[in-house]
Amino acid sequence: MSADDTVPDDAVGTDEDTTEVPRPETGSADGSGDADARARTTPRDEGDSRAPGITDAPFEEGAEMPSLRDHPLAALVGSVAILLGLGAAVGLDLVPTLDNAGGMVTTVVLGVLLVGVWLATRQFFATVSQAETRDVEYHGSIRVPGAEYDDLLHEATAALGTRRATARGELLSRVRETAVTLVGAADGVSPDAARERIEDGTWTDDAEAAALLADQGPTVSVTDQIRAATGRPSRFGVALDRTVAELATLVSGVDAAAREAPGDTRPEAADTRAEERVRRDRRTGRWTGLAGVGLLTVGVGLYASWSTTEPSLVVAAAAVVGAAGYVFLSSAPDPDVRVKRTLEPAGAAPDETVTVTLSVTNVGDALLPDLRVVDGVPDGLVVADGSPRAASALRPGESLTVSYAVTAVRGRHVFDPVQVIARDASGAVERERHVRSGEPTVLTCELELVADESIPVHSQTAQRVGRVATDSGGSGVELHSVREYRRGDPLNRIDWNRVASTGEFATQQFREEHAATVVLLVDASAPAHVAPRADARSAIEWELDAADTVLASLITDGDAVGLTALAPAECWLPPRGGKGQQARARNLLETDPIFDGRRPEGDIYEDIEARRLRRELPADAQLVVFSPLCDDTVASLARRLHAHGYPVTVISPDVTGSATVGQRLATVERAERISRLRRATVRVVDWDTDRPLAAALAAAERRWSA
Amino acid sequence: MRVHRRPARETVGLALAPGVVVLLCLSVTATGVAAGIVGLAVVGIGTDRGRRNVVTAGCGLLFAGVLLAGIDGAPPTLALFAAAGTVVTWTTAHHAVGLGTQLGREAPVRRSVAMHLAGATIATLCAGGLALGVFAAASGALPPSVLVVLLVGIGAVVYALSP
Repeated sequence: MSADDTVPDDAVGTDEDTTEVPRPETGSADGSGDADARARTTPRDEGDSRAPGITDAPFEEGAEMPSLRDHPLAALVGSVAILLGLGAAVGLDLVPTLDNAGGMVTTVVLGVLLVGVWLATRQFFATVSQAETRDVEYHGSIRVPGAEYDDLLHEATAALGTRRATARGELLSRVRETAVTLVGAADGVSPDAARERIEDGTWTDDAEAAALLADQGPTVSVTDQIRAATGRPSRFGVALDRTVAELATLVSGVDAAAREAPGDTRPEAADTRAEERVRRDRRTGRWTGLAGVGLLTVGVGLYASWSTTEPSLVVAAAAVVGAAGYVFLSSAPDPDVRVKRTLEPAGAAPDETVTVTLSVTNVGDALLPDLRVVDGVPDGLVVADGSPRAASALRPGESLTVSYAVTAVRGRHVFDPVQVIARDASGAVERERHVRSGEPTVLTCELELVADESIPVHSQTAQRVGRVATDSGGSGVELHSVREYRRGDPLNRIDWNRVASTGEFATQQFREEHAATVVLLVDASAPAHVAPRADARSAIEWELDAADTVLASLITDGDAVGLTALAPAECWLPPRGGKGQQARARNLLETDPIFDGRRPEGDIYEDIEARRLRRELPADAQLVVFSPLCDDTVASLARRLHAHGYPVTVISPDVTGSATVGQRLATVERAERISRLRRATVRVVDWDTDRPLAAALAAAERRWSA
Repeated sequence: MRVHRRPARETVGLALAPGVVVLLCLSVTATGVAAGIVGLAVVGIGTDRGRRNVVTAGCGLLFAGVLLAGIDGAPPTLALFAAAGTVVTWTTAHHAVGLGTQLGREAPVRRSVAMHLAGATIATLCAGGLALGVFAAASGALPPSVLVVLLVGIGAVVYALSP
């Protein structure tokens, strides 16, 4: 199922690039005529206005091809000397005979050898600089809950100097904070008392865990660092693991023994550093040291050929020096390529597979001996099969085709520019470009229609408030009162009989029937962009699924439903009932950039959000909050609103993992947040996403009615 | 689906192919071929793991084999092929590692690697062939004064070429 995303023609002209972003000349021009009809394309609009632009890097010093002109004198003297020497070798009398030449040869050979060795070893310490490519295969915005703890743990064992101690201290203080809350709740004591118990180690029977939190645990030693380097857990890590397991026993809903195997096919996190897209030329420096090897061979070879008969190594040296010359002879053309992308099928339902075919054509006049391309797979999409990357050599007019499959995810996904890296034949110079396709490629994927069957969530939401006939006048069925006409009253409520008989305008008021007013609050803040693995479905997707289901069932029940989001940007749909409202809400969920699955830049602040919600929410509204509960802000906001008289239900997809210590710690923290919410009488549906939402709701209902 | 930022197996094979030629050329001397075999194995491991320094160390051993063979009196043609093969192995292995880092194991890259291999082979063989021709025309061992001039000249040019 798909919607056509075509925007009216008149928008095409006006919506042209926000052109402070310089685009490479290539690929931007006349490719639109042959754009494949199946690739539904739109001008770039709000959908990718957040996509990073392409900027020009100032050409790096020395990014031009290395040249003999760098050292003209040495090049001239050297060339003349070699020609003279070669001439003399063939028998011409060009070189005068020197006195004591044997001693000079030895001296010069030794010098050449030393310089050769010195230059050659530079290869070992040289860093090859080349363009970095992003992990476009993964969902770009996803973090794994607890990854920050794993990073800290890694730093606490592997980092150098004071950073190690800092990381260890920070990690321990966070664990201790969680422990204070958990011990306090489990033993029913004040935070201060809990802190005391943790300091004297009486909170657990596990001596190692008790010692760690009392700050008497193992420090990181040299053996730990060796263990870390070989991939084995450090003693500190083991102690931390035992502590987390002990903490897990203090809170319900966590299986302390659960261990997911971190396998090769289950990446923990993607490399999602958001590098800016820069047009850059650089020297790779990969040939550093080759000249030294040449010198070394010449030294050994000439010395050997002087004493023996055959000049084997001199010839060998020529081969090496020839390779160095190759670096100077090959040229790196500026890649002039055109990019075309087609999607098959053009639109898809969630979880369907879409085949992307990218074709890169060399439209310049020069051979591109080494061309590498990485397609700009949108952040929200995950590559299911094949690779969006390729390398080849392209003659003028030739094309390179890359084909791969992505799994469609709800939302509107604009493909990013293709990263093109062109090198000369020797690889000494690299030119990095980012080329947009003639027209932007967009994959649109809508939410699946939810069957309008009754979803158990309604029974609890309707039960709480239900349809209440109120004592206030307004619109409704049963007559309540008649009052003086006020400007703006609807015509159909004017008492026309009275107007006819007395000439006075009056307005009839009916008894208002309040349906339940439910506002869905979807957590789209940065911490909600989490998943158990980099290639898994993110919490925000589960939230939207659940929100859509709840929306459909509430609307069917005749309740008024509103929609808002916890995000740095604004999103507020006032509560109303009816199918129209359902369509509006659904349209927001599907197309609002807030829900596009990209991690937002800014943070959210509890105070600001609480103030905004209290201003916007109708007094009788109840809230259904969708959040993975992977940070404290949302949990504490939910408790606060609940206390302010807006009954809160939290539907929380469980996206925590258990493969690493950090992930298990995050699991414990989430369980702690849930139990704190429940103690504050907030209803929490802890949704194991392997099972349908209905099952989780039914289980939660049993718990509430018990 | 995961990005393995390591060279594809196929490109590792391509990078090692010229190294096998080197081994064949080195088989005239026992020490040379021994160093060559160890070196090539190290190159193979380094390329597969995507470790540039391991590749360079392996090629260093391979090259030590070439030097040993040359000192032991291998004929110029064999020395030329061995040296050229070593350089081509080295640059192709580095090319494969670079491709692995940027594009990962699954991307189709065969043509790029083949192109690089062909270019490097031609460049090294041409330069070596030129030197071979000159020395074939030369008569006997070089006089010391010519050696001094050649060494100074080559040193100057290599300095000028040094990136």
